[in-house]
Amino acid sequence: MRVLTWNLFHGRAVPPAGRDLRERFAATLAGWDWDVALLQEVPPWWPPLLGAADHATALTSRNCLLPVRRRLAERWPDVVKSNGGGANAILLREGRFSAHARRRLRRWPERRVMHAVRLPGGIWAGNLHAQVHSAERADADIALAASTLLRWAGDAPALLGGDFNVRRPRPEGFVSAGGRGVDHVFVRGLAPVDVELPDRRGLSDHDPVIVRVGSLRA
Amino acid sequence: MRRSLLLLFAALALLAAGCGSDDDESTATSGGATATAEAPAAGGETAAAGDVVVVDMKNIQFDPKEVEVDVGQTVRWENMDTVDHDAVSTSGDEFESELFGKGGTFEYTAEKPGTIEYECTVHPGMVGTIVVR
Repeated sequence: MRVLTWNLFHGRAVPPAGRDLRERFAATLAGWDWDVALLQEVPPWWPPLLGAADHATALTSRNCLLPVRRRLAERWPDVVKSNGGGANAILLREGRFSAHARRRLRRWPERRVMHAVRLPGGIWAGNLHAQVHSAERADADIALAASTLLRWAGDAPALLGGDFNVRRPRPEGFVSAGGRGVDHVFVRGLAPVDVELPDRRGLSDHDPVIVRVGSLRA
Repeated sequence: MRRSLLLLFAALALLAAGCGSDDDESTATSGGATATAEAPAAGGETAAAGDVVVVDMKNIQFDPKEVEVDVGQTVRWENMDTVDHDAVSTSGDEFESELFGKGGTFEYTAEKPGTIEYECTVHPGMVGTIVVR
């Protein structure tokens, strides 16, 4: 199974493109080889439009008056920036999720959420965007996200990916399957196989990371 | 035209009010887990100031991308962006900052001649070079 984690930078590029990039992001995602995608800083209206067989969304911050924000962000994405609203999203390339759960990690200084889905086959996949500007708060978010995901998964294999906002996260109960910078994937009950950094084609300010994981018995 | 004006007013209102909680680009947040959380030098210009050469971190780039210093001179990175950055050498002499937010700084003092390549580990393509004379 291939797991992608990518922070979408609220649908923008570096340097700024000056226009809505949803179709470019969707085409880029479609061109990569992944089975489940864990996305952060996603414009909240994007997940159903990204061409996945199934998707789950967790709203994060700056989402009041969302229809107004959307209109503005679509017209002036590089002016509105993160004020266009925020979400984390999990996409599944084929099949359907059998469960979706959310856990708010904090309200302050920024609302942070970990959400997870149960994939076909029973593996739980969690998506995290930890608090920024504070390693201490990020570590607290990571700890709570990891313990929550393990509780939801029970004895089932689990993976936790996302933007951890620390370079060397250590979610208890998980082992690293790969990452770059602050973007990582960790697994419990799965075997890391390899890591790929696909060409982001100028989109976002984060590298996408794709890790391949297999069964421990394989 | 009238519609555009309405949207513009709405944009300004949203930006001003910051309605809701924040995300990565909070303009109200500064400092954080920085080793040296001091304010940037006035003007933030990239120029040698005594023994210190300043490299701005802005628009998700190092500015300037290349600096030349003498042995014993200090390079100071100042984060002008609202996202966190770090500075980590990838070749040459070794240094590694923590992630730090807007207004945070990191310093490295050159100890031997050579060329040092470095990067921000969070942001792909955000790279720089220090030539130590």
